Amino acid sequence: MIYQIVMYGLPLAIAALAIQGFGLARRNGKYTTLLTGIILSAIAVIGGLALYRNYAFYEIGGFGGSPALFRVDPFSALFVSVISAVMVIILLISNEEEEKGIFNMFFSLVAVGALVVVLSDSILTLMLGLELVSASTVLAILNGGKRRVEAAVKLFVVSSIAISIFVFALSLVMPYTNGFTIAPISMGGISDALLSLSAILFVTGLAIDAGIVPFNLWMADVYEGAQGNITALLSGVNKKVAFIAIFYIFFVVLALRVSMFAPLFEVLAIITMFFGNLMAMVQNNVKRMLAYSSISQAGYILLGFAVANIEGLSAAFFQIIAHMFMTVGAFAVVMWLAEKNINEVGEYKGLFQRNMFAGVALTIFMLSMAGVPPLMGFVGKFLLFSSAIGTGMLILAFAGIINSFISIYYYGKVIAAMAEGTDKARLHMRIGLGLAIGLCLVVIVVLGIYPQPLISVVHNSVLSVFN
Amino acid sequence: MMELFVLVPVLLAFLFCLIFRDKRIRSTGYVSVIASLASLAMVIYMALFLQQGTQSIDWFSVGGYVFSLQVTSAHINMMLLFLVALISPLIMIYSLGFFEDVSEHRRFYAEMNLFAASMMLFSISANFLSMIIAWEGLGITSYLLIGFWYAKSEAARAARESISIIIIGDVAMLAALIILFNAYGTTSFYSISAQPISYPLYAAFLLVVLAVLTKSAQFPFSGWLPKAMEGPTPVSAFLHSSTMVKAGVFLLILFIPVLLKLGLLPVILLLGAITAGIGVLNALSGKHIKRILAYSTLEDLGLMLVAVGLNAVFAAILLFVTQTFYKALLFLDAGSISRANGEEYDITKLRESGGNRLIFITAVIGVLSIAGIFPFSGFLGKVGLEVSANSIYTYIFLVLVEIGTGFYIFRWLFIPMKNSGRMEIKGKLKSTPVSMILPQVLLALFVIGGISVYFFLPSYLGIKSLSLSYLRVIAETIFAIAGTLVAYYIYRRGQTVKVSKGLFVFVHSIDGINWFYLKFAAFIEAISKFLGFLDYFVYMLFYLFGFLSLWVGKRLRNLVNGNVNMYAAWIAIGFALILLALVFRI
Repeated sequence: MIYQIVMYGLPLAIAALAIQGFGLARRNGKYTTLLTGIILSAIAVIGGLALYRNYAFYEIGGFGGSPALFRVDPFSALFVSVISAVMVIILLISNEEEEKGIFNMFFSLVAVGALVVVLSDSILTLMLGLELVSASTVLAILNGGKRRVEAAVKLFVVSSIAISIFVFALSLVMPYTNGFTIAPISMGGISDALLSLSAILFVTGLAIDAGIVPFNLWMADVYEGAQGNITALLSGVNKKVAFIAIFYIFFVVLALRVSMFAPLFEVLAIITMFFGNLMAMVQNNVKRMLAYSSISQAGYILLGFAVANIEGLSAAFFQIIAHMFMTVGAFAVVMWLAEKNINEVGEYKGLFQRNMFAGVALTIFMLSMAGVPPLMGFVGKFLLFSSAIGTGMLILAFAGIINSFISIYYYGKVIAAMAEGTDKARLHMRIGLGLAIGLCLVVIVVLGIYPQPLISVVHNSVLSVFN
Repeated sequence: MMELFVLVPVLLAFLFCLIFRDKRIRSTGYVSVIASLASLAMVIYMALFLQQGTQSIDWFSVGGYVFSLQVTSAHINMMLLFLVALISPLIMIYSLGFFEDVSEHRRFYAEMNLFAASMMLFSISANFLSMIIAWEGLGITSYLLIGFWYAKSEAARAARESISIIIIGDVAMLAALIILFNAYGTTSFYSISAQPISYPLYAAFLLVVLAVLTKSAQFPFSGWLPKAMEGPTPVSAFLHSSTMVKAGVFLLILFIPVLLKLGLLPVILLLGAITAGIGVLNALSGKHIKRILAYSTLEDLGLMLVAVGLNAVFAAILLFVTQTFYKALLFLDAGSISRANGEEYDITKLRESGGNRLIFITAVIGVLSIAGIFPFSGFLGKVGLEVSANSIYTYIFLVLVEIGTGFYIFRWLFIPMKNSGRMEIKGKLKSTPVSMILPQVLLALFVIGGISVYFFLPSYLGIKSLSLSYLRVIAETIFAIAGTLVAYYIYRRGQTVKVSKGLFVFVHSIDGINWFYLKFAAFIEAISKFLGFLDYFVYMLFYLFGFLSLWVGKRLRNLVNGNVNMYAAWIAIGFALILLALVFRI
C-alpha cells in the first residue's frame, strides 16, 4: 500500500503542484494558498512514509530504454519531506496581500524545482531543477513591487551566470557519464586536467547559489532587498538545494576523485566562515546581519563536506536541516518586525517587553545558530566539529570553534538590545506567523534535547546514497 | 520509560506557570497541587504494579560513543520517589496559604515544580548521566528558591553562598562522570558498582564523595545550609530538610558496596560525626526558629553519614525515611508559628501556638519524634544507629548526640511556650488558614504511622533487618528523656539565654570551627585572586581578538558595495584563484 502511495502519489502530487504553479493561479485566487499548503503537506507526508518504509532504491522515468530521470531513496525521501515541511512553514509566514495568486504560483514552482533537484537521478534534471528554483525566485521577488526590482535583477544576473557555468562544466564531463546519470563517471580516458577544470567550474557554479566565498557577495543585497518570506525561502530552501546538488555532483558523480577536491572545500569552508562572521559583526541591519550569518552557516556546512566521510556528510546534512528551521524562524520574526518598520539593531530595544514570544523565539533561534546547548544548532556544530577532529582535521575544527566565538558577538548584540527594557506599546503578531515560529521553535528545542532519531535517520540516508 | 511519565504532570505545571502570566496567577497554585497529586497517583500505581527493572534510552551517539539515560524502578529508588511524591503535594498545599502576596505565586510554583521534577528524575536515575541532569536541576532550583525574596540582601547573599559551594560539587560530579565514562565506557550505577578496584574508580569516588559533601552540607561545606533558611519556609521544609539535601546521602547509600571496597567508609563516618557534632552544638545555642532546625538537619544528615560509614544500610534507610516526615513537619510548624507572630523568627519573642492548638499538637509530635522517644517514628533511626555502633567510642558519641538532640529540640519547644505568659510580647496573632494546617496534620499522622516502615521495608528492599532488643529500646528512650528533662529544668521558668553562659561552656567551640571556615575561605580566595589575575590576560586576549575581528570586518565591508558588476567580477576572480591554486599544485 505504502509502496503504491509513494510510487504513484509522489509524482502525482508534484505534478499537481506544477499544474497549480503554471495554470490554476489567478491574481486574486485566495484558495491557492490553501491548495499549495495541502499539496505540500501531502508531499511531506508521502516523503515521511517513504522514509519510514526505507525503500532502498527505485527509479522513475527513463523512456524507451534511456536512463532514469528520478529516483527515490531514503536520502531523497528525507529531504523531500523536510523541504516540503519547511515550505509549508514559509507559506504560513507569507502575508503579501497583493497578488496572492501570483505569489503562490511562483512559490509552487520553487517547491517543484527543489523537489526535482532532490529527487533527480540525472544531471540534466538536476540542472533543470536548479534553474527552476532560481528563476521562480526571481519572479517571486519581482512580484513584490517596484522596490524589489533591484534585488530581483541582482539575483537574476548571478543565477544566470551560475547556471551557464554549470552547463559548461557539465559539457566537459558529459561524454564520460552514462547518459547523464548521477552515478560515478568512468575514469578511463578522462584526463586529469579536464576533470579538474570541470570540477572547478562545478564548484563555481554551485557555490554561487550555496553562498560560498567569494561567489556570494550578491547575497546580502538580495536578502535585504527581498520580501521577508522570500528571504526565508532563499536561505532555507534555495541554498540548501544548492548544497544537495554539490553533494550529488561531488560525492556521487565525481566520487572517485573526492580526495582531490576535499582540500579545496576545506579552504573555502574556512574562508566562508570567517567572511560571514566578520561581516555580520559590523552590520546594523538585522536582516543583513542574518544574511551574513547564513553565509557563515554555509561555511559550517561546507566544513562537513570537507571532512568527506560518512560522519562529516551526515553532520553536514544534520546542520542543513537544523539551519533550515533556525533561519526560517529567525527571518519570520525579522520580517514581522520589518513590517512594523523595525530594522536596525537599535530599534530592537525592548522587544521582550513589547512581545515576549517574539523576543524569546528570536533569542532561541540566535542561540541555536551560535551553537548553544541544548538546541539543535549545537548538536549540528558538535557533530561537525567532532567529525573534523575525528579525521584529524584540527585546523578546520579550530577555525569552526573560533568562528562560533565570533558569532556570539553579533547574536549577543541583538539579544542584549532586546533585553534593554523600554515601555513602548505592545506589538501584536498574527496567528499564522506565531504558529510558524512556534513550529520552528518546537523542532529546534525537541531535536536539540533528543537528537538521536534524526542523527540516525540522516546517517542511514547518507549511507543509502553510497550503497 | 514508564518511570519518566511521573515527571510529566509537574513539568506541565511548570510550563503552565511559565506561559500563563496575567490573569491566571491564582490558578498556578491549584494547578501545581493537582499536578503533584497526579504524580503521586502514578507513583503509587508504579510502586504497586511495576516490576523492578532498568531501562536505557539512547540520548545521542557520536563517534562510536553512545550516551544513554537510564531509569530504574528498583525498590530503593521507588522508596525515594514515593517520599518525594508524598511530600510535594503537602508542600504545594501549604504554600497556597503561606504566600499572602498572590503575585509571588507564579514564580514560586514554577520553581517548585521544576525542583520536584528534578528530584523525581534524581530518584529514578540509574546512571551518572541522567543523575547529573537531575543533580544540576537540584542545585539551580535550590539557588533560585533560597534567593526567592531577592530584594532582601541576606537572601541574595545566602543564595550566592549556597550556589558557590554547590557548584564545587557539581564540577566534582562532572569530573567523576567523565572519569568513569572514560574508564569503563558506561556510567550505569550497577555496572560501575561491579568494577574491581582501580585508580579511576578510586579517583571518581573521591570526587563523588566530595560532591555529596557539598550537596548534603557536610563538613567542611556545612556553612550554606543554615543560611539557606533565608528562603521561604515551604522551601526549607521541602528542599533543605527532607529531599534535596538528602540526595547526596541517597547516592552514598546506593554506593555503600563500592565505598566499602575502596575503604572510604571510615572517612565518611568521621565527616558525618563532625557534622553531627557541629549541628548539635549550634542548635543548642541558636535563637532563630528555623536556623535551629537547620542545624538539626545538619545533625540528621551527619548521622546518616555515620550510618553509611558503619555500613549499616538499614539504619541509614530508617533514618532517611523517618527524618523526611518529622523534619518537614517541624519546618511547617515553624513557618506557621512565625507567620502567626508576624514574620518573627526569634524564639525568645514568639508564642508557641500561633493561636491554633493543632499547630502546637503537631509540633509536639514532631519534637517527640526527633528526640527519639518511643513509639514515634524518629526513634527507629536513633535506635538503629545505636545498635549498629561498632565501637564504644561511636556508641558514646551517639548517646551524647542523642541527649543533645533531646535537649535542644525541647528548648526549641519550651522557650516559645513559656513566652506566652510574658507581658512584653503580647500582640495580635494572625490566624492560620486551613491550607497550612492540613499538611501539618497529615505529616503528623505520617510521623506516627512511620513506625510501620520498620516492619515492611526490609522485605520490600530485600535487605537485612535489625535485631532490636527491649533493652536497647528502653536505653535509647531513657537517653532521649534525659535530654528532655535537662531542657525542662533549665527552661521551665522561661529563661532563655542560660545555655550559652552556664551549663554548656563548650558551645563556644563553634567559634573555633568558624575560624577554620574563615581561614579556609581566605585560602580559597587567595587562589581565586590569582586565577582572576590570570583571567585578566585571557580577557585581554579576547578583547584584542574582538577588536581585530571588528577591524577586519570594517575593511571587508567595502567589498560588498551594492554593485552587481563587482560581484560578477569576484566570481571570475574566485574561479581564477582556484584554478591557479590547482595548476600550481599539480
